[in-house]
Amino acid sequence: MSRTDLITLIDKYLNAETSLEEEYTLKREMMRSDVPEEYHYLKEVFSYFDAEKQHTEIPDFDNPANSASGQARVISFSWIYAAASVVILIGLFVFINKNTNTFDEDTFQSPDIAAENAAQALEYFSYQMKKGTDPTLKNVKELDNLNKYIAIFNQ
Amino acid sequence: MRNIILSTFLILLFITGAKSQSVNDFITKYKDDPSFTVVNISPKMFSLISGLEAEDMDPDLKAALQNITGMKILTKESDGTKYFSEAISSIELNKMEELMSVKEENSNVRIFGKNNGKDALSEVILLTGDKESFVLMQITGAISLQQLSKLSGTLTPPGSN
Repeated sequence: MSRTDLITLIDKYLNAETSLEEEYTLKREMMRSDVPEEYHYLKEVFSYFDAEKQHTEIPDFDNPANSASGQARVISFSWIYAAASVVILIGLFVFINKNTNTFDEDTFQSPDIAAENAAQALEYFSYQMKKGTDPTLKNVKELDNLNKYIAIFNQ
Repeated sequence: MRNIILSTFLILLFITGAKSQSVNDFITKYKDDPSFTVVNISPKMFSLISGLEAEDMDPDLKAALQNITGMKILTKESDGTKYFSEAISSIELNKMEELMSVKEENSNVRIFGKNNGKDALSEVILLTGDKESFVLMQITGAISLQQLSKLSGTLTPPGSN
């Protein structure tokens, strides 16, 4: 290659205008021993690229793009929807049925105060129950059941 | 595909909408709302109560307390009708027997009970609701309505003081 051609090719390379073939040609020229000294830096660049290329190659890596089968596995969206639905259902079931926030803590620490409040509650219950036995009230239903339980204890 | 998505949503709606709440769930829902008053007296506390020597207590009341093992109460001093309706529709009551239902103008009282198989009630639920107040009360143990009917029957629900 004449020096003029070489300079033209180098200029194209430095302007990123070379084709792959031209790059190979330039590289080949640069690897020769009679490269002008002013272009030694390019020789070092190509040597560096070669060295790094070896480092980035992974041994025993089987690139699927180069494999004979060459067909990517396609997962149907139906299955994705179905799987997502199942996950949502399970999540919702667990969420609804978790009972971490139960109400079991005693309101009163003292048995005396608890007894007083329980007694008050029973009095209130009794008051409401007596409404059901008040003959002056209308719209009273289900008294048979109430009377049945009261009668049991009267026996 | 649309059928799958639609079915999924219907199932979700069914699961979320049809689930009945226990009394505990209902109380838990409102226990952090400061407009409600919540009372829980545990079986452990009732065992301590039964050991008290409360000589000034009415004998009938004392006897009634001896047979109770647990009590949960939720009260609110407003919107009683609204919460009464919500409680009736959402609390699981179908396994209980309705003992009493009184409906007056703007006021409802309903009592439900569960038989313990020995001529007594293992659980009673009282629900009252009117314009001014709502009360949900659950009592567990061996409950005698006859014993309760002997009590004087004062008006104030617990926690409303």
